[in-house]
Amino acid sequence: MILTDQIEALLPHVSTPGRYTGGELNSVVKRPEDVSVRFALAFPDVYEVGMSHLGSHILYKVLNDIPDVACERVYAPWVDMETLMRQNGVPLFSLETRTPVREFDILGFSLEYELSYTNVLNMLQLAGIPLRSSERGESDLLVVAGGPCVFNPEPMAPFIDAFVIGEAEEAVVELVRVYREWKGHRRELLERLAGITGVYVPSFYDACYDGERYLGLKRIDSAVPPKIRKRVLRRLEGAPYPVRPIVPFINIVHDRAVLELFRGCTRGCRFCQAGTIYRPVRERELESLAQMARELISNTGYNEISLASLSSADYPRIQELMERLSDELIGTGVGLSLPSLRVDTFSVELAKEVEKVRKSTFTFAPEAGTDRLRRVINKGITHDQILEACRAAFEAGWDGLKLYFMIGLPTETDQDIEGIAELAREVKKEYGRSGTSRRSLKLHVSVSNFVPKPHTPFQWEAQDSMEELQRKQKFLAKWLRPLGVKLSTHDVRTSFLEAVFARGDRRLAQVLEKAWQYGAHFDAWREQLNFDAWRRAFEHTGIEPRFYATRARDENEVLPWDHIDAGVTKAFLWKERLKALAAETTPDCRFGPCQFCGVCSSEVYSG
Amino acid sequence: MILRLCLSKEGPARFISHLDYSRAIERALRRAQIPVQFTEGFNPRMKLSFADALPVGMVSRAEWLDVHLKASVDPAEAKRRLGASLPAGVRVLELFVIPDNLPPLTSLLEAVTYEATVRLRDCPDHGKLIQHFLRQEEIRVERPSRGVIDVKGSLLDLRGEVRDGKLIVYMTTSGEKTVRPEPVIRALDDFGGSWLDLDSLRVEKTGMVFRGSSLTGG
Repeated sequence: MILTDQIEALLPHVSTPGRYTGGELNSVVKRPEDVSVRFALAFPDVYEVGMSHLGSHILYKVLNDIPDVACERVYAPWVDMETLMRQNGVPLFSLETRTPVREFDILGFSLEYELSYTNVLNMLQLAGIPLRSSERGESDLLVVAGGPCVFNPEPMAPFIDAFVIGEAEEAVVELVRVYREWKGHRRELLERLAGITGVYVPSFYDACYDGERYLGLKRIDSAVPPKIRKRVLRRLEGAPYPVRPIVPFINIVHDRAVLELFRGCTRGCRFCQAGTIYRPVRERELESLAQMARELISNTGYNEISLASLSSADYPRIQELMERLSDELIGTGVGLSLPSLRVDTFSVELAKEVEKVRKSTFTFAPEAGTDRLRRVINKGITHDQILEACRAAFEAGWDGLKLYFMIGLPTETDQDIEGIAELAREVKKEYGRSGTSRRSLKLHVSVSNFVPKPHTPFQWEAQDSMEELQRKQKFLAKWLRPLGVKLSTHDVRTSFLEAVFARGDRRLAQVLEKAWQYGAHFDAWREQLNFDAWRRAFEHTGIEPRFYATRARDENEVLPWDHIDAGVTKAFLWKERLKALAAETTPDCRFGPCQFCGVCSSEVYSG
Repeated sequence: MILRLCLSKEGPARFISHLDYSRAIERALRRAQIPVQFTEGFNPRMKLSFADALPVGMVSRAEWLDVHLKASVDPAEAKRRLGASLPAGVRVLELFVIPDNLPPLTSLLEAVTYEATVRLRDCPDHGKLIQHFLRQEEIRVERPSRGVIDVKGSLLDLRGEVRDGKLIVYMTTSGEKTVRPEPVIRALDDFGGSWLDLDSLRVEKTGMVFRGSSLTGG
């Protein structure tokens, strides 16, 4: 039976078969005989999650715009489909032409979160590709990876032939060009790839240790760079953008058109990795955005367009843009949405524009419970400002409010956690004073666990132990219960694993492989998390996970991601850490003087 | 103005739910810039009314729906534009204007016709077997996780023919009490002693029968 019939025969027996059909509007199907390079763009999670990822849509467009390149999509099959595929000998396939992945030239993974790593291994195996780079031969395809996680690529290093660090719009084109021109042995290909700025070929570097301590990487080929500079687009204006994105048949996580206003954020929240790795801020011009919005709607038929960025209200002409778009879209049934708002009255004003009729839930992210702790994390908003923003939302008619917080932040005490409850209490009081609706306030407090991330001022910090985080969750629940507030928390085991792999070194690859062998996959899905598999994997390999998650590093320790240059200097991050401990804030350079983080003067940006 | 449409659901589109299907139609109408009317209220939606919801996986050549417009259009032009905007697996089979005062499609539905194709394991006299099957006092079929029912009253017609080692069943069921064709074919297989290869069963919805000539209002 040919593969496409084999797949069709499985579809009546799986949940959500629309994940596997392909054929969606605006998908690009090229005949294999018409192209010279076939690129499988893989996302290590289910279709609905992967299809919601803007970066993949951008790369899909960039690659398919090259006439002799065909880029096709691959997602992780859900567990029911995977079982059937294994039983029937169906290999991992692409959606566009239902080609087995191993027949492609290049397989590229998006690594968006650490807990998707086991899915990468699972997909490689389902595709019939050797897991480790060192086991791949001349006839195997090239396996590459990009995304925010590759700012510390080490735990995945043995499985990936080459990483693309930073923004891939340009780098991926260079990568394909090198591949197309390459003839000869695999090693020559890897050597040439290592010559591209932003490309890291881990097999050319050996990791050195002294007992438990990591000492750094040693180059085994002097031609490769000692440090890998992240790629950054000099200008966002004019950069390729998917104004004709694939429109899925089935409902996905973010089922709407996405307009990227700008890239980067200089607010400087000290826990936030995106705030470092996407620097500097680059904006698109208003005229271009209006034109892009028009094209997006006429090419997709979506009824919603999301103005996406790390902090959309920071776009300098945001009000003008929204008025323009509202005027154009009036009467078409297309709405606007603003996914990331600041905690201030200006944001409430903007949201009023968007939600002229619908009054759903308003979302704010104060992140911490007290002014002191908010200064520590450089989330420069005060208690009074938060209440003022809430008041504005209530007066505008909202009667649902969701507040995002983190627990386990550096310097946090029980007082800071009580502060979360205190804030909730005052928000409720504020609603009693200024709410216009007779209904009672629906208040939802969502609390995640702090995970220290590479390339942030908190990269040296210890994460709270799982026991401590659990205690804090219970402590908070006790304070919130009498208030009638809905509380949601995150699984501490998930946060622990995230912390281990976020700051891990190459030794963790064996843990990943073992845990996957013991049955770990879809670890980010609460009902799929198999923590026992992880526990056994750590035991089997003799690797102590707490060494990575709950240990504080000192200033001089060599960090596993020191060879990745994100443009922001380590000295700046350390200075920011000291300021954090002193509860001192740092202003946003977008609206004030330069804070010398290093990115604008670094070769990353100017070179 | 109201447009009455008959669309297909096949290819990749056959694997999506009714909700996803109607969303795909809405998007296509927007891309085609057809001036569809919206519902009032907090969450305005396009005014579409489907005659019936198709189960996931089934191919159909008869998905009827009414689309309410806020301005009039030339039906031939609308058909051309919509045809160019629909995703793979959805085609416009019929499109015409109906008077505003017609009752909704759901209230007019009289019967649904299906074509089921299934490979034969044995070759008994299928004509006789079907005759006996239909002559039972009760035709009991088992619906997945919904128990056993008697479909004698709602199974309006069932005929079969054999071609290339396959049995092709033409089935008409009542529009009032929905009967899915698959359980009926399973019961028929059971009745004849496992003479059909049920794994090869393919069902296609081929038509909807509406009361009188009210479909077009003419």
